[in-house]
Amino acid sequence: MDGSEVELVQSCLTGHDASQRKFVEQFQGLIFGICLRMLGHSQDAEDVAQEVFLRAFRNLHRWDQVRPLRPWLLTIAANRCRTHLEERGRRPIPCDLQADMLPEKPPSQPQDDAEEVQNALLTLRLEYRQCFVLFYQQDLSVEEVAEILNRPEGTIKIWLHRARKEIAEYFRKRGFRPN
Amino acid sequence: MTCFDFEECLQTQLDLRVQHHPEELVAHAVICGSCRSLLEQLQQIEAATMCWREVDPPVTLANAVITAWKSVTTIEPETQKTNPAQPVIVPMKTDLISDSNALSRKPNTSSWAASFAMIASAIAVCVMFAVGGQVSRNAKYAKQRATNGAAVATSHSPSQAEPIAANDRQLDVLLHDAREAYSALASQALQHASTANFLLPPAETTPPFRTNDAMHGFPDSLSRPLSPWGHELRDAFDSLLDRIFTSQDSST
Repeated sequence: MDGSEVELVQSCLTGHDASQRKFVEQFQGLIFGICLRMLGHSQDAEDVAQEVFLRAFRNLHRWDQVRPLRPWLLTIAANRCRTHLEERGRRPIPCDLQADMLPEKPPSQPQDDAEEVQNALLTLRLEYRQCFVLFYQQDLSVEEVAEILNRPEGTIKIWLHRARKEIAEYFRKRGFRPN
Repeated sequence: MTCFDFEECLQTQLDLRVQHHPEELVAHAVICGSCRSLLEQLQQIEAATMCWREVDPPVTLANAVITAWKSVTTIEPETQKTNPAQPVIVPMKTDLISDSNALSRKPNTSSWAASFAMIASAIAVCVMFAVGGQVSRNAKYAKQRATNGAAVATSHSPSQAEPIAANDRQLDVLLHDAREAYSALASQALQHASTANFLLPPAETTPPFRTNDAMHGFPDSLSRPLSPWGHELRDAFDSLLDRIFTSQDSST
């Protein structure tokens, strides 16, 4: 357990402004990143990230100091993203028809592929998307993802496998060829 | 190695973030085009995810969070301890947030009170209906008992003032109704049997089931509903009629 995190949290709990700002600045990249990948929309990601920090401040006294702070924040972020998506009720538009009609593309650059992965993520089920983002963007292990999403490891593995396969299928239909 | 084994092994390798795949995996990918394509696509996806690890948050995010948090703590310092409210979202493009906007996002406590009052009144109405129904059943039972006298609930004497259980009362009423219905049906059936013409044939008419024609065909005097039945059933029915005749009173 990082002692600096405990000190920072305790300082935040006393209402110290500078500590609260430091807390936000320390974790805003983490929270905004997962929100952006999950939601696929920067304005929504900003709103949800702000909401995540407010909820974290509200419940900071409940944080177990013997456990790391980062998974705790990621759990809040994942829940808020899921709630936001459910409230938005926006289903991803299937692009099977368009993808089938597109001509094959030349070998792509990883930066282009990253955008396509982001587009493919929006077509996945919410659970698959959460697993994929937490595993690849946050560099978490299957065990850590299972702990954050409160699901068995076997379930996380299945979701992760399906996410990979569906993204690969999306790439195949879009005509992206490996370098 | 089958294609199914290949995919299982490949996914496990990716779960463990293993960079170098086993030789048998690579060997299968060499001979199987679809598996090789899957391997290359998954490697392409993994390489693409390396590019979006770093995300720069908007520069206004920290200020917006701090501003929103201050507005929450100043507007509702007491209520947030007992009643967690929805967080106030500060618009990212603006610097200030109006108090009216913040207040509009607070949960409406009066709506909770109104909901609670509606639920409580609904429960009260249900209880009233249940009690009223029980009272009406008891009154109906008492009225029926007064009219029928000892036929109802003979195990309880009228002088006893002890309360009778509701289930026993209902059972008594049901038994009494069943007895009455049974006796009414029996008397009606006996009346029909004694006055029906086919039970009292003329003396010169030969019994329909004793003739030789009955063995081979159906005589016209036999009622149509009995026609499809067998010979044994007709004999049994005939004997039943004989018993009814012999047991009847001569006056009927």
